Amino acid sequence: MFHSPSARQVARTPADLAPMPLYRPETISEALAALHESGGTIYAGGTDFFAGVRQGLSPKALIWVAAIAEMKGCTIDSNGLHMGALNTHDESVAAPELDAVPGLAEAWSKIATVRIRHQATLGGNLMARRERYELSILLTALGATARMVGPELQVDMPVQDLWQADLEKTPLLASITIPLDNAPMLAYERSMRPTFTQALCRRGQALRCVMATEWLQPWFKDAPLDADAGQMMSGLPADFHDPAVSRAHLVRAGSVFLKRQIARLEDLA
Amino acid sequence: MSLISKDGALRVAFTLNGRETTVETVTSRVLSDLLRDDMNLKGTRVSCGRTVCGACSVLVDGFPRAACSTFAFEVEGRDVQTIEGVEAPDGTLDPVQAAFAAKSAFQCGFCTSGMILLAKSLLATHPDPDRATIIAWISSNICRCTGYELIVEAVQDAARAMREGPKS
Ligand SMILES: Cc1cc2nc3c(=O)[nH]c(=O)nc-3n(C[C@H](O)[C@H](O)[C@H](O)COP(=O)(O)OP(=O)(O)OC[C@H]3O[C@@H](n4cnc5c(N)ncnc54)[C@H](O)[C@@H]3O)c2cc1C
Ligand code: FES
Ligand code: FES
Repeated sequence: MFHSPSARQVARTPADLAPMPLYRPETISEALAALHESGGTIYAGGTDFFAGVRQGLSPKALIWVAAIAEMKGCTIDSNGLHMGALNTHDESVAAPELDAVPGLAEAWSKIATVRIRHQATLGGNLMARRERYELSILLTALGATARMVGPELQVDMPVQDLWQADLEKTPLLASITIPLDNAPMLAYERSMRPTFTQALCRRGQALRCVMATEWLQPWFKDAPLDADAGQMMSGLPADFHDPAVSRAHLVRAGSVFLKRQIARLEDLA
Repeated sequence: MSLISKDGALRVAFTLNGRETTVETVTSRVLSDLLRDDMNLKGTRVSCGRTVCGACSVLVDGFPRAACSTFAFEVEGRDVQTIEGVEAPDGTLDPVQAAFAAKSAFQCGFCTSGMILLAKSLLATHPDPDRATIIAWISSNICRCTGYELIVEAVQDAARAMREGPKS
């Protein structure tokens, strides 16, 4: 016998969850109070949450944030384009404000499936902190910041810093802001997914290129508009490879894609 | 105060296949277990249990949603349709069911209730979908048997039948 009779043959399922306290805050401050009181887990669209349950997540309480109106919608002001963390992928793509960043809605519309896009949120995509999810890649390219809030503190941090962020003091992602200075535009290449994806933002005379794989946190490089694609890609760190793809391949294929994407953005401009 | 349930017990009122329904349940209950185990509606299939395959799709306010990854409390006040609510009360098949049957758009049938509900939602919003739109929607769910082609054709047939109306 390979397994003892008591060993589980399948992963945990939602049926293994114990009944737990449930909160349904309608404001950010209610959500923070509920988190503080219960030590619970934030629940938004739930599309990643249940993958977590199968991997062992067992929340003490649920903070179901879907009714927090101030975490929804898109607006534009002098600081940039603001997007609520509770926007679903569908809602984001349909928002006219996204036209302020040519290429963003098109790239975003490629994510996931019809059924998932209707339910999955921007906040959940980022806060699941899974390398294979793509909004971190797009938003890092666009130099976006995440507004993290806690009972006593509010911090605006670059999206790429979310990977390492300590969520003790600021557990809730309220919104994302993309600065609109120098007219950013985005090109995104995911045809090689899951091997790698590449996002490129052009902002005035500057480029930001992001490379990501299924297993690695996104890497980015800033360069002037006339930079050489091969040289940009050769900046990939020595340890940027995973079991599915070598660094040499990423540099080679990444350079080819990057040249194409620079041309694409030239056309858009 | 935002606390809905302290001990995990709660009551959920929703519309299920056209009927007002109230259940006493717990916060950790997912919709697929509520339907299958508490209400004996076994047409909702569960496979991956993590939002991926869509076998457990039901319609919530007309849109497909994985019942395995939806807590029962999330359907409070909402309209839920399962495969059991698709055929007419006199047993007449819905045009989508009829098209799936006529086309044999299934082999093992495990994905079929989810696929039919997905197709119903698609046709409610796109009465004359092109092939690319059908493929985009159908790709939300996984079928391990058919290779999808017969499903795509069944959806096209159902769309045609629904546009043309019942044959007299
Ligand atoms: C079948 C399938 C296909 C998919 N395909 C793609 C794809 O192609 N590309 C892609 O990028 N993604 C893809 N995804 C991932 C999907 O986009 C994410 O699961 C989704 O965005 C998560 O959002 P949610 O609202 O469902 O999060 P939830 O599941 O509710 O939460 C996810 C995590 O984030 C935390 N959280 C949620 N909101 C907040 C917040 N505001 N503040 C702090 N913490 C929060 C939760 O506590 C939890 O840990 C796919 C998912 C599925 C199931
Ligand atoms: S069983 Fe629900 S999505 Fe697979
Ligand atoms: S018919 Fe068997 S999975 Fe679709």
